[in-house]
Amino acid sequence: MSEKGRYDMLSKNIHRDNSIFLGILTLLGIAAFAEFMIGNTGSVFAITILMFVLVGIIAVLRILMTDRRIQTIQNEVPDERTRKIDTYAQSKSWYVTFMLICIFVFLNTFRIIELSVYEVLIILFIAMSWSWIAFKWYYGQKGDIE
Amino acid sequence: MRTRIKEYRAKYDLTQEDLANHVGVRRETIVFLEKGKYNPSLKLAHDVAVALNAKIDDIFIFEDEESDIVKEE
Repeated sequence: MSEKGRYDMLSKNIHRDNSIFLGILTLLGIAAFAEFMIGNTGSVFAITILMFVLVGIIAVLRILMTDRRIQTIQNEVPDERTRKIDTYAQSKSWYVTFMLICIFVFLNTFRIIELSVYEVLIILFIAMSWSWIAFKWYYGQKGDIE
Repeated sequence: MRTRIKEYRAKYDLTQEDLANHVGVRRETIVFLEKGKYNPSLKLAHDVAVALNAKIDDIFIFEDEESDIVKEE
């Protein structure tokens, strides 16, 4: 298969992966909606959290692997716009995480709410991975970081 | 910033995909460049200009530069 053919096939696979990813997001939305509507459903809440964590991991790995696969197939330097947006989105997600840590320190210092280490880690994990995905999507749609 | 990439592509009968493959970027990058929504690096601007057989100045036109030209005229 030619380089072009391989690249086209990969693009189709990425499109399919995106559809799967959107499907997972829809399921996640339904689970979260059920939690709010039914209430007191510990299991639904746990599944929702688990889904958030899993989708976060999958999405971050997929972003990294997709870019790498395209680079390998094209055998060229990575696309500068993608690289620029990725880096900027990563730095923005770092700021989001940092702000959350500041908020947690404030809340804990004044005993407004008390969170366990597990809860803090889960929140930070979700915030960091999802904010990265969100910023990447936002700047990707916008075209540039400025 | 305004670009004349589309015009030059038409001149040489190149698709966005062709140009993207030629300069080593994704097609989306060319789309955003054409819309003037992405500020390319000097290297990419140079590569695009070379691919389209033109000078960087001919392809990428900054708005303040355009108004200066109008004033001079």
